[in-house]
Amino acid sequence: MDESPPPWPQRLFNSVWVLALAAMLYFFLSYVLWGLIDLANTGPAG
Amino acid sequence: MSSPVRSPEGVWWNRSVNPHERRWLSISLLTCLILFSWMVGWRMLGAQNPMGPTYRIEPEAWQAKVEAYIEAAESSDRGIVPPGDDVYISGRQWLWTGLPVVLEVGKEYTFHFGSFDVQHGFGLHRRDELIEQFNLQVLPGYEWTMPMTFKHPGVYDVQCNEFCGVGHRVMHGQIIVE
Amino acid sequence: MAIGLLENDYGADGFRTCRVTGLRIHRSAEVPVKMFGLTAVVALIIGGIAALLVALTRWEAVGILGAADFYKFLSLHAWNLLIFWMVFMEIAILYVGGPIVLGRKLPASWMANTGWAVMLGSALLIDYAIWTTAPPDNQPLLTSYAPLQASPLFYLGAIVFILGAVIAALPFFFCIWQQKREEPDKTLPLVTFGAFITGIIAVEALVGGLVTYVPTYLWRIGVVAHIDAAWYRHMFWIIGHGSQQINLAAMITVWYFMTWLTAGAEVVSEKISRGAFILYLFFINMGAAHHLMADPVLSSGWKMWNTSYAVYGAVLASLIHAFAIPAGLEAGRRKRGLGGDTWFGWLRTAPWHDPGFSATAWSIILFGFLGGITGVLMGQMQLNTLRHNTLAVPGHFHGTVAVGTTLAFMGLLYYVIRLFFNKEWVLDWFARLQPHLYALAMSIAAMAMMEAGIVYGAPRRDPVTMSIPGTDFSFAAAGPMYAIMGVAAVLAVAAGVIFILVAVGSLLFGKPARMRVPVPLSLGASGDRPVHDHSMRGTFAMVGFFLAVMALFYGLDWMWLSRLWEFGG
Repeated sequence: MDESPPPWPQRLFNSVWVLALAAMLYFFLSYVLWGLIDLANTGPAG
Repeated sequence: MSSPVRSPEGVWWNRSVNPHERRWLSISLLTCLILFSWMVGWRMLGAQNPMGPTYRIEPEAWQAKVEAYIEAAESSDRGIVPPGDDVYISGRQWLWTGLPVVLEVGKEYTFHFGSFDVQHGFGLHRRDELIEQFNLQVLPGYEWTMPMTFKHPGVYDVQCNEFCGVGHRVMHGQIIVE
Repeated sequence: MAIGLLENDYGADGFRTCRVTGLRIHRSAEVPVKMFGLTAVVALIIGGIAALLVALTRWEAVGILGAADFYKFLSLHAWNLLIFWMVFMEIAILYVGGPIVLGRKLPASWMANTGWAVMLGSALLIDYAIWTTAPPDNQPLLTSYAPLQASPLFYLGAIVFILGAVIAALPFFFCIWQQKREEPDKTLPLVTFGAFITGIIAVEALVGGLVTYVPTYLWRIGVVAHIDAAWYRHMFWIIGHGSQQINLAAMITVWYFMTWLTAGAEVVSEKISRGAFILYLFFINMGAAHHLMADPVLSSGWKMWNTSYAVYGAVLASLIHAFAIPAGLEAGRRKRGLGGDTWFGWLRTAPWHDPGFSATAWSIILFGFLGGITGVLMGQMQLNTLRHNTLAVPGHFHGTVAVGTTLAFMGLLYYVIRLFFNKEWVLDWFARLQPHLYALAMSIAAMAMMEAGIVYGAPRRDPVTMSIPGTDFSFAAAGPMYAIMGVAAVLAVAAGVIFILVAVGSLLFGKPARMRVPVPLSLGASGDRPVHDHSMRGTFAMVGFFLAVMALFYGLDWMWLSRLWEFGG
């Protein structure tokens, strides 16, 4: 088959495991970790 | 045929996109930017934001704080009058400590929300008005401070709207603005 | 008899070829689909009975249950419908989207059976825990907000249910792994891709659930001294809302599948639809933040970034699918010469008499208008304070999950009955009517809840609001809305009963299925013009109208907010 390899965006869209891992990491950072930081930064009342 | 149950063949990335779909994509993107900017803009410039400094506080310390406030407050036949600019309200099963309270219209107070036991819902409604309401979550272990100014005199009813036990429906209170 | 229902005519290699879709279906995948589907329907029945009792209580003129029983049945209603009905169906959808669409075996199918048994056992445990909850324990409702403690068996049941779902999901992931290893350059079909996205969203939600319930269980049994209320809410909503995002992704995957199966739809742009699924993959679970807008502790940066799904990235995805799916139907039908060259003929002539199609179509339309609009609006940080803890919140999620996702799953089940169980539908006229009746009734019930919450501020989770001891304040003004909600809910339950009668009746008494779908799948298989070349003006008009409606309510909501007293700093 003399078809050229698909462009990188198509290959990226096909890399389901890479996408899954990146997404889960992103969620952890954006929702979980940032929220925990806000929680930890809640200081005691004056 | 482009079937949802068949693998698309070849380089599908370069297949053209219908003009209507492309136009909708632009409109959708613009919509998303508007939604985000408006919300951020209101945070910076608007008068209604569910934000204010929160502090951790132990139950006994919170209890002491609220009791000291009530001690210092003046009593009236309509409710307590805060000694200064701070208004303390604490939920407990199944009443609001600190309510009823009498406040001045147009004056900015710092409200302090907390709970003596479990989570409660501070649902505030302007009496005899439709839609004029707001709702905050009230947590034990935290003191949530928030500036608040009432623009209209009248009665504002508080009804707990977070499930806090089987008797939760009786948890009513009042803010009277004069 | 039950074993007979699970069997089919397989070759020596365990495969059979579906005469309608041409899919190669292996026994190891099909049998679990049927098991999970049947169990989901049982959960639907239990949750539906609880729904009737809850509705007849919130319709305060009837007020059938006292407070203690109200909270018991509310908890049963929530867990059996929002969790069990949904999650059992979604495991089945993973098995359809994965091995069945790919024409593969389900690997490690013993895990499917184990997962099912664990899920079933723990679901029964949760129901038992709710049924036997007594002081000092409180009913969990859906959220079991610490420190309002629930029964220890409840937390344990929740943990085990999550583990069961994880076990049941694993064979799907193994199947994808095998497929990608064997054919690394082949693109997964869109439905399989959607199922994969659904699976990853589910993993995030389920892990969040374990992180929430394990420490809370340990606190309940005295091993851990203290559970922080803010921490609990932050963690709980990963599974609380994440489970609903599983529903969203699964439903959308089902929409692509069912519009193709029943009405001649095609995929108009693989790249755009897949891009939208990837936006979901990254951003949709941030929506857990919607429940924390009216909370202390969290910064406004965190709130606004997360509630917006990163500058509304996931909303962009929803808007894309909202176009792509009807457009796929429109262009697909135009390509097949169905409906003429008019603006909406393709929709008018669609098989509205077919319950698989009509359920799917109503699901698409009503999810958007009822659930989608209210969700986007209530998710805005400031607007949320107008609605938080009011009946408008259940109004919203009945629009999404009781109307949208439930209809989509009912539509799918009609065809599981026909194509997997090989049974024709009994009570033909009832089957045709059922999706329309359910859509109408459930929509009215949801809108009544929204109205009561928006206009009167009627609280949620409160069985008696029309008289409050010690004050002349009450929500009596919402009485008419409660009545409308009550009547509509009774009709919706009736439509649910019809669905059960048709489904169970077909399985027990149905003739061998007529193996056909309204639009033959071979029709239009090769056309002169590719599908994206056909007009999508009808869809464009519809989504334009949708956006206009959303803009209207957006403007109204912000106007209403601006009239409130001033708060925040």
